[in-house]
Order: sequence, then C-alpha cells, then structure tokens
Amino acid sequence: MKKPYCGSTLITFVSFVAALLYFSPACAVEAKLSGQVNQLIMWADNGEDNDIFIGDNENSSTRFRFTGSEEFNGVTAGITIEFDVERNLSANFDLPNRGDGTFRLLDRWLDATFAGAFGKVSLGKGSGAADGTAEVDLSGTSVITYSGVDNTAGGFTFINKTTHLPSGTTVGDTRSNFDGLSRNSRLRYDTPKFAGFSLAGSLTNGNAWEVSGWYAAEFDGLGKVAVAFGYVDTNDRGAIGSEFTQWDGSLSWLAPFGLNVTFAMGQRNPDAAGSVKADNGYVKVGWQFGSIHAASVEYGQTKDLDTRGDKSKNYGLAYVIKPWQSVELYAGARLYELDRRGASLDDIKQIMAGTRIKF
Amino acid sequence: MSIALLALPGCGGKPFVYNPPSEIPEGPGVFSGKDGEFILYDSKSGKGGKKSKAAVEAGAPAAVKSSTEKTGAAVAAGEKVPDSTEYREFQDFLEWKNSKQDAKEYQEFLEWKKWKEFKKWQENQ
Repeated sequence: MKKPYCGSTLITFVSFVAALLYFSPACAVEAKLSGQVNQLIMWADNGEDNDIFIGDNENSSTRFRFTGSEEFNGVTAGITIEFDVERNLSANFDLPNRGDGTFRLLDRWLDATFAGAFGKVSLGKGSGAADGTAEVDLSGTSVITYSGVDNTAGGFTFINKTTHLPSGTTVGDTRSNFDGLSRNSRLRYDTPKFAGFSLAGSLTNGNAWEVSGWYAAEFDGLGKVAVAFGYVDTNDRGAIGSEFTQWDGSLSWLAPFGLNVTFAMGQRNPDAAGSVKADNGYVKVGWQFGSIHAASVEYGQTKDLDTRGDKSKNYGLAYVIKPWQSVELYAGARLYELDRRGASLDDIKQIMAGTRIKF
Repeated sequence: MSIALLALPGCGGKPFVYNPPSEIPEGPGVFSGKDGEFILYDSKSGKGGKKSKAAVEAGAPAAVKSSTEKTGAAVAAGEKVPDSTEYREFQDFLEWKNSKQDAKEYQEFLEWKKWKEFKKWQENQ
C-alpha cells in the first residue's frame, strides 16, 4: 500500500488554522455540558446455564461531554471532550455472572474543529470518516437493537452441545457490521453539505485511512431517508497480520405513517495471504406509532469472520417507549446462532429491558 | 447503497441532521431543559448559567432577563435586548451604586429626596 504523504497534510492543516486565526477576530463563545445514563437488565441463556445481568448498555453507553465553540467571522472553532463512565458493559457479559465488573472512565472524544463555508476540519480523537456508515438507523429502536449486534452479546461464549463445555468462541468473535474504525486519533475533513449530501475523509495512526459519503433528507409524502457508505484501509494499524481493507454501507427509510426499513451490509478483506473475505448483512423492519412508541424486528448474519465457513446469525425484537422527550424505556429479545462446520453449538438467548435518560 | 447515495441528492429532499444511534440523542434533558445542554458560558448573555425557561421562551438571555426583573424594567416581547457590552456596563453601574449605599453623601442624598417628597406633599395640602 502507498502511504499518504503526512508531512504535506500536516503543513496544510497548520497553515489553514493559522490563516483563520490571524484574519478573524472572535465574536461569540459558548461552553456546554450534557450527557446520559443508559442502564439495562438482561436475562441470558447459553443452553447450559442462565442468569440475570445488570449493567451499562453498550449500544449507547453512559457518558458525559463538554462542548465549546468560538465564532469568528464565518468560522466556528469548536472542541468536544467526551468520556464514557462505565461499569459492567453489556458487550462483555458472559455466563456465569460473577459480579459488577470494573469501573472505567474512557475517553470517547478529544476533538478540535474548524467549520465554515469550506466544510469542517477535525483534529484529535473522534469518529473516523467511516464511523457510523454501517449503522444508519431511523427506526427509533436503535437504543436496544441496531446493526452492531455484538454490543449486547459480544462476550457470550457458545457452548458445544456434544461436550457441554465452552467452545472458546464468543458472539463477538463471529459478528461485525464492518463499521469503519470507530473513534480514533485522526485528521478528518468533511465537505460542506450539498442538498443533504456530503463526503468525508480521515487519516489516522498507522497510516490507516477512511473515506465516506453521507446523505440525509426528508421528502414530502415519502418521509425521511438516510444513507451512508464507507471504505477503510488499515495499512499498518493494529496487530501484525491483522491488516485489512473494508467497505460498508447502510440505508434507512422512515415513512410518514411510521413504517421504517433499515439495511446494512459490509465486507472485510484481510491482507493476510490465504485469508477469506468476511461478509455481513442486516435488515430491520419497524413501526413508529402514537408519537411515543417504536417497535421493530431484525435479522442479521456475518459469514466467515472467525473461521472459514462460519455463519453467525441473529434474530431480534425491540420495543421503545418515550414517555418524556428526555427518557426512553426499552425492551428487547435476541437469539444468536452459530453454524460451524464440524461443531454443534447451542444458541444464545437474551431478554433485555432498560432505560436511557438524557440529563 | 452507493447508487442510492449518488442518486438521491438530485431528488430535491429537504436535508436534516442525522444523529447516529450510538451518540447522545438530540432534544431536551431531564435537568438541562429544552436545549438538552447545561450552558456553562455564553458570551451573548455575558456570563455562565443555565437559561431559565421563561427567558428561553422570550428569546432573551437568562442573565439579562433576571437583571431587568431586579430593576423593574420590563422587556416586552420583540423589544430589543441589550447587547453584552451594554449589559456589562449596566452591571458595573449597579455594582458601583451598591458600593456607595453606606457612604455619608448617599445617605444625605436619600434625606434630600425625602425632604423633596415632604415639600411636594405640603404643596398639595
């Protein structure tokens, strides 16, 4: 892979910021604090054992953030500092349940931005350009189910039906929506929006890079549509031998009468010789009704991620009620299956309920 | 997906800001109110503090609203709200005025005002 020329990128960015600051006197400053608490209770069964878990919903974890901005003549300089405040993440649950887990304070965003008619330039830790491109979802139930299905079950180990012992393979080993490189320390550029459409590109450590396209618009009589597409090349990022290229995309449509349909798909192509491409597909159909209710059903499948020939699938149901604008109450159920050559594995079942409260 | 991405912008929809499902949702907060964010500092209102509901509804910065309530000066809907420089100058004036209230000259001024009121009352008898 040809490495991007980082020196010229850096000089361009520094010159750009210096020019903005030199020619534009500050005229408005804002600093804000916001956050949310998102906790759930889950019953889970791996075919041999079952238990109840209480912890943080990794779909949209408990967190707080500071944002600030200063407006110059046509340019807004901004900062975002955001932390996860987590204990007992739903993505790490496994049987048997041994306790509350450990507390962690984790940096999510440490980001500096400059935005204006030229678009937006971001430097620091934050979403890479392709982060979220496989997760576009207008269903209203994404707080409990969306294409990142391992967020509620990634830690559960499949049990071998023959030996009744753990197989050593978890849901998280076999499932991915191939959604960019999440949040990383990057230099990112977003183009201005044109009729709801924009492009983004980012460069991160290890010479990894991401590009993406985004669209979100509402049509009279047809409702809302959101679409995203992303591409990633990890280059030297990550462990030796784990490098890959990857593409993904997602589309969600919400009709004016509440029906909604969401698709996500992606493919990872590992660089390692002899490796096989892994694919993911996800579909969700939902209904929003009575202005505060949303319900959905989902199906997803990832193939060949952990072992060649694997088919890791899930089925799910979700219901969310929003009695007040700042409070969501939710319930969901999911069933995970792993079809693996030469092995017979128990399904994993889970039933969940919880609440997300924005403060 | 990529075909939809390229084709849809030409269809004339009204753009909206999409909020990813994993991020903090848009909208109000339990404690932060309508904006969903505690305002730690806002140069337009001159100082920190969360906007009061009444001030938000009136479209006036909270700090300006509270100072006008204190001084009894009404801000009618649609009336121009003082900018931050004017507001800061007014605060300085109030501070200066309060600091002078124990002074001998100020007490004498109050006595003089009472005497003027007494004279006016006498004339009306």
